[in-house]
Amino acid sequence: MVTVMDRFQNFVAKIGQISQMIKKLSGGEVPDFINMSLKANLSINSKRFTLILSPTEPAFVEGHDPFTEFEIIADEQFWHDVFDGKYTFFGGYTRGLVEIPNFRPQRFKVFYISGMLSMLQSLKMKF
Amino acid sequence: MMTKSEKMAEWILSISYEKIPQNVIQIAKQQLLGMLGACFAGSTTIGGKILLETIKGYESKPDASILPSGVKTSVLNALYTNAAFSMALDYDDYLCTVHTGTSSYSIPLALGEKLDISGKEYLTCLIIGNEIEGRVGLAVYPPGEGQMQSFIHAAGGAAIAGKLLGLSKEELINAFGIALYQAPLTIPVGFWGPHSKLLTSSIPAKIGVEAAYLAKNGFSGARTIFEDPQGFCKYMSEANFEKVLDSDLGKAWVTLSLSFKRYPGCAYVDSIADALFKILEKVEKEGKTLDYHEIESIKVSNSLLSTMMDDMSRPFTHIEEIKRVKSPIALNFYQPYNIAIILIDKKLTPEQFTMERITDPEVHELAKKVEIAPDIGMSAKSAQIVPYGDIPKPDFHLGKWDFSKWKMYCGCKIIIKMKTGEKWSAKVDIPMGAAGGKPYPMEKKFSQEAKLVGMEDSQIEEAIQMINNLEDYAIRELIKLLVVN
Repeated sequence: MVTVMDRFQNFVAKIGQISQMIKKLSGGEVPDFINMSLKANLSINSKRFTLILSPTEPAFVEGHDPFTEFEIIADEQFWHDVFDGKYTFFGGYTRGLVEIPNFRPQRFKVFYISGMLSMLQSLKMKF
Repeated sequence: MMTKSEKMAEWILSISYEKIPQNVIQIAKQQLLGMLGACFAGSTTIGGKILLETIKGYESKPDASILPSGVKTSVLNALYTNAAFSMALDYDDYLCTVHTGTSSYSIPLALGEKLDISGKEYLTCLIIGNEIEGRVGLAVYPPGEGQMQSFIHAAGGAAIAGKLLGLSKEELINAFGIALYQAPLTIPVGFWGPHSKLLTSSIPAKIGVEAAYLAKNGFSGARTIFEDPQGFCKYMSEANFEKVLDSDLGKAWVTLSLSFKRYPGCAYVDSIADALFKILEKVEKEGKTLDYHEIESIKVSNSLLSTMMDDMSRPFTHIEEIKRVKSPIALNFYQPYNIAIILIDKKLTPEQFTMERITDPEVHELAKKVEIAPDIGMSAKSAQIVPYGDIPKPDFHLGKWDFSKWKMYCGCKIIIKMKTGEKWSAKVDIPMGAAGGKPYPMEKKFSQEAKLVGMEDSQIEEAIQMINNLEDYAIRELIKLLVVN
């Protein structure tokens, strides 16, 4: 059975590809959001991980980064549903299925993660 | 060194009708026609009717008119109500991605009626509203909030009322300081559906106008409200874009980037409607019919922004919640409803947002067949509608953007698959009426919505003629003509 951790590894591996594709499609002038990098502390069923999304060095590693103030708390099933396309990450947030303690200052990052995932899914990429 | 408020105040005091280019004046007249159409349509909604009854219960000096009823009330109540009506069906215009129209048209209408201003003065104030509010909206990043950037109306209120009340430069600076001292922040859950959304620009516009009245009587506000280390921009924006606030005022006209809505609903709903009507036209040309009962699936691709707006509204789009709030607002952002109702009713007008239509289970059932997915190319294009990356560059000023060539990329592609296997599809890059798209005359929108509220054809024609020649009339003459008895 594929674990949520494997699916995250898959996701970060594909994030670089989408950045390159958008760069191509936008004809060289790269929209701001493509150059965005973020770090999020993930709590999944009380296990701790750090998700790093960046066009150059994306990663998914064990443990929390103590200097990161962006935390996403959700169970494994939530992430499986997001990776399966049942709803988007942001759609899950609006339904109250995920907790983001300091949402307002982090909202653009939430949109970014959600958008990147949906974009990859619309390209028929599986995780 | 001059403060941002000071520079903005100097421009507001110096600007007059004669100094505004004719192409800006012409687009402002289109804006007025479109906003009045939105106001008429919004007045027929349940939220609009409750608001009117509430305002009628207040004791107030009858200085200004609520449209189209002609109910006389105070200036503040009139601008509040007319702004709310034009917000009710998300039928307002927008420039760049900033929604200035609801306050830009309603403030000078109410205050102008009291002060008996000319058509030229009215147009000047409408444009002042757009230029100041547009810049305040652009100065706050991230921009995703769109219509929820309600604080722009507080700045617009201070600017327009400051001009009309004859404030001095110092008084106008104070007015900005008072207006933005408690800059409103909209809370999304109150935006996606209930009647509270109607007040998005009403409350801040009123605050702005009150600020001008207070400043005229010597009340003080912060002199550096925008750029101070403890000021509006530092507290509201996640990027330092404050240089756009006074950039090229009187040279670069953000008003020229106005996009007009042909249908009620968020900007991307216009693309969806355009695409669906293209499909229906194709079907008809081929001598066929599109029976919505025979649809297997409907796939929509559009930008990430459109899909996320849809996501935000989704929890509030089920029939029980719609019945509770007695409002169609969430559906103005929910793509599946708009697609389903167009396929069933073959039109998208305020009539498609009555309680009977928005709670029709058949429409909601068909809506379930709609799948939304972001398109990578459309997302890349929409991310460039406002090239925010230019602003931090040291030599950037607004004149570097040609607002007359603005392109509102919020397109979509729709594929309808029938149970027979037959497929129908259409693609739209820029909706009709939006900047860079095929023009859609606002005279048509005005006529449609004026008829909805019972205006006679001859009165409609006369009103359109008057707005298109507003320079020759007083604003009281126009208001008299806009009242439906």
